[in-house]
Amino acid sequence: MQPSVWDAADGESGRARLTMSTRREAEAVIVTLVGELDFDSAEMLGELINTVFSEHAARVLVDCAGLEFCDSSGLNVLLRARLAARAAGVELALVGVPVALERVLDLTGTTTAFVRYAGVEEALAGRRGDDAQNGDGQASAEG
Amino acid sequence: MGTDTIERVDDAALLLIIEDNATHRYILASWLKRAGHTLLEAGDGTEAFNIPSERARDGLALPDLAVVDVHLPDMSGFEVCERIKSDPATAGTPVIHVSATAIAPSDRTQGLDRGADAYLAEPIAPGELIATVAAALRYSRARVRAESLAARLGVLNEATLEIYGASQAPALAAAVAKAANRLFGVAAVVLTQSPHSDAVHLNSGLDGSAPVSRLVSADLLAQLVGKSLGNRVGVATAQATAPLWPGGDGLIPLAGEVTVTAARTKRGRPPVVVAVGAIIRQDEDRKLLTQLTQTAALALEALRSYTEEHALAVTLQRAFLPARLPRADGIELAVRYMPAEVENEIGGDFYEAVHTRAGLLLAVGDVAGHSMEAAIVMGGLRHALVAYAFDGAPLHEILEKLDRLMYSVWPGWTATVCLVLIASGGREIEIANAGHLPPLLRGPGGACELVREHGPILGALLPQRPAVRRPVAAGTGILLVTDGLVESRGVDLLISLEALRRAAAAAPENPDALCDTLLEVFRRPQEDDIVLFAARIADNGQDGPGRADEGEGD
Repeated sequence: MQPSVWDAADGESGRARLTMSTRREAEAVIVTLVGELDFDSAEMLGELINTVFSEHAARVLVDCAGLEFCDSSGLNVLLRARLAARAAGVELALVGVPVALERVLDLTGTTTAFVRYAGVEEALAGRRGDDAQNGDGQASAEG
Repeated sequence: MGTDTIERVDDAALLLIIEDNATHRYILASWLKRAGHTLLEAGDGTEAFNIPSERARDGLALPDLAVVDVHLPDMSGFEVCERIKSDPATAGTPVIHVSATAIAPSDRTQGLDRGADAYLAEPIAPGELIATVAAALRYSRARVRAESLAARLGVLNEATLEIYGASQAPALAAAVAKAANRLFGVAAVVLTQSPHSDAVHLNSGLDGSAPVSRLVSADLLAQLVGKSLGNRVGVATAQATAPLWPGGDGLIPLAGEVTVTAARTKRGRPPVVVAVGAIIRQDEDRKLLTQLTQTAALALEALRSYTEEHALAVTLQRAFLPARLPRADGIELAVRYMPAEVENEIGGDFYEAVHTRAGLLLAVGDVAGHSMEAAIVMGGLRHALVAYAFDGAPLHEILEKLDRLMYSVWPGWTATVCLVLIASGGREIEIANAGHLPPLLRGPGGACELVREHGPILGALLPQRPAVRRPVAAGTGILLVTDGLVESRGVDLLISLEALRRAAAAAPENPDALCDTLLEVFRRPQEDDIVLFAARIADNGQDGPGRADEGEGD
């Protein structure tokens, strides 16, 4: 698969608020997100992830290190993808979770809902970071 | 030179003749005058080039065409032609060379190569000169018309964007008035009737000044279309010479010659009327006016549909929320529900208060997304909550049932919900939070605490945590909010929550006053719905809170 890039642009300013790109590494598709994941851009990410699932990758790695903002709509898309991945027997993991996303995961009790890796290299090597969970565990206790 | 009879032409023009030989100039000018043209005469290039600037200064029209002798005392006719064609103000003016001496094919070639539109060598027959002038004028006028039409279509396109961008009828009408003014260069008046209202707005604009809007009688609208469009659907244009209305009060008078175009897109709708202060004669102008009026009518119809849809969505959203809060002895409740200010979005925020076997249950939640569907999921979730809570089941069990319900009935949807149960007796509360913002407890002394223990968001099929229990006393306050109140792009939510905690500590104890104070403090352009739900355990009850009558909850 050729690397491809989509922009979810701000209708008023034309400024790209979320840039999404995908590339394939062996059995994994890496989805890289840079910018703001909100109501306006979440829908496009949802469509992109559906497309990725249709490519029969064994693993989908969402590289979130470049996310500056994530609201409940953004989280919703990730949770939806998580359930779809589970139904399809695909591993869906979050890579390089930034503070903005960590906060949302924390507040919504979903810190343990996702398999997580510190970086793309670790993810491809299958080495989980210190904070990595099994992705199906009990939700976090403290906010 | 020949002597054929000269007939007057239909499209007379203002011509400039540049010729140093007075006799030649006289003869050529007299032929052209007899054909009906008006002549300006110059003896050399310098004199000729003074003419346009003098006329421009006096506000007079520039020549439509120049007849230029090739041999002039101060410069060649070719040079005159090049200067005419290189000045943007005169570049479109056709130039016809005449010459008695430069009559070789190479002279003609040079003249035409250097920009002339035609080249006539002596002997010149009057009919040939007049026909050549007519042909050059025909060509240049067609080009001017095409350029002007293209420019005005550009104006119409720009205006169409602005007209469709208007969110209210007066702004829409103002955009139409401005466009008509730019297209036809005369005063324009636009009448529109607002969606959901009998108000007829009259907008007028002239000379780029801001259009003026006034309310006028609906009779005027009926009167203006009575003889043309009537009750029909479509577009109709009529000319009028009687004054339509006087000026004054900031309005432009439209009297004398007026063209009135009316358009209606659907039977039974009020028409849009565009009146311009001139008789529109050209076909192209009429088409432009018709198109502008139709655009206005279509945009107003879109605005009307949009307004109706939004009103319906807001009504439905309200219908999914409790009609009123139940009454409970010894507990004061207050709620504020502020829909998002972004007009085309309705959200999934909700609140609920219901008596259960275990006590009074308060809930605030937020279904992710802004759409009619989100509002429908919210309505379903709220009703399910009331049903699951009724028999006093443990709070985390209620949340887990809702989680599974969401997963199976609305797959892909998520919601955050915070439940607070004020146990019968009023000495203890239980809190179970499914990924929602932490509830705020305000002690009788005013100390505020965010209760941060929480489980996961609903719809993700994750296990919930058992409720947290807290002792409460008379005077304890409870505040539940949705993130529209505090969430702000670029600001850490924990910092916003801390600001909320401080603001609540400084706010009045009374739940109504608390809500109003917080809305005041956190007011800003609001992208999302806001729910504030406040409760206070009254300090005047002897036996603590208990159940009052059934209340009027839905």
